Amino acid sequence: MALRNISDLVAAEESGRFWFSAWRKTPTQTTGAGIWFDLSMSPGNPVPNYYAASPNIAIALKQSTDGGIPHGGAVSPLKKHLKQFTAMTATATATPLPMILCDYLMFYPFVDMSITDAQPMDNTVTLPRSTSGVGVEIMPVEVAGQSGIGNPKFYVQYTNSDGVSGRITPTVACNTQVVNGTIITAAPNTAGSAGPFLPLQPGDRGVRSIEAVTFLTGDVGLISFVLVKPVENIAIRTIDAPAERVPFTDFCDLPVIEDDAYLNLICCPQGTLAGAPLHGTITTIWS
Amino acid sequence: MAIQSMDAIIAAISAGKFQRSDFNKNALPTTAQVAGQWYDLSTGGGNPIQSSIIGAGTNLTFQAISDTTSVTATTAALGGSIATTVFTDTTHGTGRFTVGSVLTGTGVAAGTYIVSLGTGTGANAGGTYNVNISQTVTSQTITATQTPSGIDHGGIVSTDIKHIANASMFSAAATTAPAVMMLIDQIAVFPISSVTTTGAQTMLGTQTLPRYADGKGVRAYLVPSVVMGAGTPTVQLSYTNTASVAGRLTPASPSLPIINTTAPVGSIPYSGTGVGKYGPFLPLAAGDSGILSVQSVNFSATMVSGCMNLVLCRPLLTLPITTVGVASERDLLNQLPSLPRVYDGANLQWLMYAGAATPVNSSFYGNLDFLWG
Repeated sequence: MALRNISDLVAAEESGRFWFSAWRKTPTQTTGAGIWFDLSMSPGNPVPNYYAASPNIAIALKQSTDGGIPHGGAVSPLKKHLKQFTAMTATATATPLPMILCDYLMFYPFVDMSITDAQPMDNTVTLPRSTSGVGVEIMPVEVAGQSGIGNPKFYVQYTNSDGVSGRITPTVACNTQVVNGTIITAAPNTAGSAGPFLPLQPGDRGVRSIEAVTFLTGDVGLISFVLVKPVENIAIRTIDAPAERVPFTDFCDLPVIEDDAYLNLICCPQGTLAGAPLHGTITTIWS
Repeated sequence: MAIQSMDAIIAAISAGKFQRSDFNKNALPTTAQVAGQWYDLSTGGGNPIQSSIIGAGTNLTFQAISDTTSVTATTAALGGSIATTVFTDTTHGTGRFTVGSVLTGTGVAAGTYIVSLGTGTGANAGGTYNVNISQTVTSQTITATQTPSGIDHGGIVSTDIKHIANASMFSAAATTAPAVMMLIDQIAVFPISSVTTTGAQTMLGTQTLPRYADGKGVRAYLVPSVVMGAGTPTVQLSYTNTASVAGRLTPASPSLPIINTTAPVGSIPYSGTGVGKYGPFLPLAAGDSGILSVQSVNFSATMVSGCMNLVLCRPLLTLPITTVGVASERDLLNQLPSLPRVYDGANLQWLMYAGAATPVNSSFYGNLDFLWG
C-alpha cells in the first residue's frame, strides 16, 4: 500500500494512521550568525544526542534505540509521510531561523582535527536506512572545540550511492566557531565554506559510507561526521506566530519517513540561541 | 506519462519519483558583487563545487553542456608539474585549464583540483594555477577534467516528465539582501579567448542544442572565466532564431550592450544601470523568442585581456530574497502554478541579481524539490 490520492490521505487520518509529536529544544551554546547548528546536541525533548562512541567507527542512529523526535513507530509494509510541521519561538533574537528536519542515519565519532594523515573509518556498520545512499549528505559536527585559526581545511573520501569507492569531496574550510554542535563547514562569508553539507565529487548523488578523512592543516578539536538525509524545511520568521508547513497543500511534497528514522533538527541562526526555547510539532500519516 | 492531477502527484511521491536537493552556493570568491549587476553563481564555490566547464574547450567553439558532460585539457608531454600548491603548465598541450579542473597524472594526489588562477589564463605556456593539496609532482603530462557541477535533479527519468515542485533559498550573510535568484538550465558554452579581436568572429563547431532543440526560450549571456581587461566595447550577436532565420542581430537601439569597465570572473559584464546595460540576457531582435544557434560575436573594441564565455541557457524560475536570514520559499504548484519542466541531462545553475553590495564568498543555502510522473 501507499498513498495514491487525496482520498487515501483522508482515509488514513480517519483510520487513525497518523501520529502527532511535540518537540522542544533549548540550546545552551552561543551560536554564531549564519553558522548552521545541530540541535540534536541541545537539551530538551527529545533528549540530546552527544555522538559519544568509539572514534572513527560507524554507528547507526535509530528511533528505537537512540530516540529523536517520535514519528509513530514502524508501519511497514505501509509507507509513512510527514503531513505537518510547525516551529516557533518567543525569543526575538532567535528569529529569523531557517531549520531543516533530518533523518540522522549514521555517524563517525570523534575524528581528530590534529591529525593530518588520512584517518580511515571503520564501516562494519552500514546505513540503516536510505541504504543506497541516494540523497544522503555528509554533515560535519563539532563535538570538541576547535580553535578555527586559519580556517583548517579537509576533504573526505567516500563511497557514493552507486557503490563506487574512492570518491573525494572538494576541499572545504572550517569556520571559526568553537562551540559544540557547530556544523563546521558553514559560514556566512568564508572562502571554501560549503554550508551544512559537504559538496560531493561532481556527478555523485549521495553517500553510502565514509572511507577516510584528511585534514590538510591541523587544529585542536574533534568532529563527528554524520550521514543525514534532509526531510523538510521550515523557517521561523517572527515571534508573533508559529511557522506552519503542511507539506502537500502548502508545498508540493510529502516527505517519506522510514521506519526507525532518527529525526532531529539543524538550524541557521542569526546570532546566539543560548537559552532560547524553540518549540514545534510534527504530524505523520501512513497508508 | 505526465503529472495531470493532484492525485498523480501523491502517487508519484509514494512511488519514489521525488528528489530533494540541497545546495549552498557562494558568491564570487575574489570580488564583492556590485548592487544592480547580475552574476553567474556557477563560477562560485560551495556545494556543488564551481563549474569548471565555463572557460574550458576551444576558442569560439560550441560545447554542449549536460549534467554528465566532461571535457579535458592537458599539458604537453613533460610539460606540467606541481610544487607545493602551485601547478605550472610549462608547455601547454590542449584545451584550457579552469578553476575547478580536477588534475590527474602520475603521482598527482587523488582529489587535486585548481582552486584559483595564478598567472595562468587557461592555455598560456608557463602559466601557474593554485591547487588544493600540497605535493611535489615532477614534469609530465598532467590532465585536467572539467565538469559542469550542476545541482542534482534526480537523474534520467524518461519516459516520465520531471518538474520542479518547490524552491527555497536564503542567506544569513550581511548585506546579501535584497537579491533575485534565477535558476537556469545551462545548455551550451562558447569560450572566447580572442578578446583583443574586433569585428565579427565566427562561431565554430556543429551547434546541436542538447535540450530545447527548437531554441524556444533559449537565451544567451556573457560571463568571464578570466578577469577581463579594461576595454569597454559594445557586443553584438548574430544568431538564428527559433523560426530558423539566420542573421538575427542583437538590437542596436537604444544601445548595444556595453561591457563594464570592471568585469571580474562570474560577472555578467553588460549588466548594471545606465546606457547599454541589460541583464542578465543579451537582448533579442524584435519578435524573436529564442536562439537556435549563434553565427558570430562582435566586440567593437579590444578588451585587452581575459577570457569571455557566451553561454546559452533556458531560465526556469526566479526567487526573490527580501531579507537577510529569511528564507524565500516558492511552491510551484499551489502558490505560483508553473511546475517548471526539467529535462534529462539538465545542468541547473543559479544566476544572481545583487540588490546590495554582496561580500565575497557570501553563502546562499537552499533546496529544490523535483517530482516526475
